[in-house]
Amino acid sequence: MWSRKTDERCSWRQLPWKWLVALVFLIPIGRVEAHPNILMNYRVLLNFQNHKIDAIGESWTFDQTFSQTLLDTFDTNHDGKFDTEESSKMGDTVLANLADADYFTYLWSGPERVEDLVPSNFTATLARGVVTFAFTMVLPSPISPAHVRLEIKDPDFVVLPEPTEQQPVLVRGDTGDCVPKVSDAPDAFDFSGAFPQDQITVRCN
Amino acid sequence: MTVARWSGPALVVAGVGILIILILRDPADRGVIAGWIVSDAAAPARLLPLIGLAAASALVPASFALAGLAVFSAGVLLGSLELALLLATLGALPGAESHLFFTFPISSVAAGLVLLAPSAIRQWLLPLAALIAGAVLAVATKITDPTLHDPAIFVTGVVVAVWTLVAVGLTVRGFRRPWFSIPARILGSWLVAIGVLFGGAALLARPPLPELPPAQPTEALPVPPPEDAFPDLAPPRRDPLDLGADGLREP
Repeated sequence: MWSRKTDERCSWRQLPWKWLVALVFLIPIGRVEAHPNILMNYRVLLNFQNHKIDAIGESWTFDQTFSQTLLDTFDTNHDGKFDTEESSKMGDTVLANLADADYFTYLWSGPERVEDLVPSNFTATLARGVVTFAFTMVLPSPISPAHVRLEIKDPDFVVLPEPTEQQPVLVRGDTGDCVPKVSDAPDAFDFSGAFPQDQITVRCN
Repeated sequence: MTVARWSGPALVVAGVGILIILILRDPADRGVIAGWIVSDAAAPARLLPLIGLAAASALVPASFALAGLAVFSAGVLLGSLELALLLATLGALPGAESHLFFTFPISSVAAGLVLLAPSAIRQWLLPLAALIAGAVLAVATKITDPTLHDPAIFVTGVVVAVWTLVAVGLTVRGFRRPWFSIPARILGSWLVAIGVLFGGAALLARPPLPELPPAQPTEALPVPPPEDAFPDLAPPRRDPLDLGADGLREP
């Protein structure tokens, strides 16, 4: 009898810890979530006029998962592609949301940040299961290529933009002897390499 | 009095009902925001610390509970505005980017300590814990955003959190008994233990992996070829430099 009572007491004393262990292992609170959520490959077009950059074009290609999200959200007629109306609506919605994030486009001319960049000519295309955005940004005034620095980045670290492997920067127009270059952004906080940050500069001889 | 007593349970039932409806819907038909509520905003890791904080707020005078809710809102605002600073700070911890920047263990320990505290101190600890919980909720909401910065996601995350705080807080307060301090301390110790275990397990240094063969290159995204990168910026192809009145122009 005494022994049974002792067993019951032991059982009750252990119960909270059993519950604790059960909570830790059974409830998916410890779900490991990797970030960023969205992978994006980008390509940039630098447009030159009179040896100065007067506009940039950007092409963003998203991973399959986020592309499917975009398709589910904006392909309203469910035909598996974006027609002009759907693309336009997507552009209006997405670009309005990205205004506070400066459209992920951070451009400097020397030490001065070039602000008031507004995207136009937005298009969205779907090919091989991934969505690609393309749009243009006309600069408020042309800037010298020798001192330009461009970073495509998400300040909230939700999207991981990476330059395309092939020809990440295209140039058009009166480029002279200027050549674009992609390199690691200096002083970028990259979470020990988890969020590599690149910059685009132009070298003119 | 009856209305005040049952308003909490009514909110709990309504919230749980909405969540069940969302869970039972076909994932393909849920939509982005509803899917995110199920997977993130109403996930146990997000709600458990809030439930603890709400229970703690029900055990302090009403004025302190209201102040706690206000400070929680201020914490959300602070976390939203100082997201980069918080991410940089929390990101210094090993494994932060793969563990939601430790938002769950931080808020869990903060809420647990308030529940564990003696009654005289609890009301003064509550605002501090609410500030921390609000800030890390903003971080967790922002970094799990499945969209391109759709503000509806952030608003939804805050609404779910405030709903949880108010519903659970009013429920516990409406049915409060003197012996509630005992289960409160048990809940508090669980929250602290779970937070420490989860955070500690993530922080523990892992033994170095054995030498592995070189990784195969991952399949790159099928990015359009350069000549198709800017289709609408250069139509038609016969004159690829005529980029339109508002687009890129070639001299």
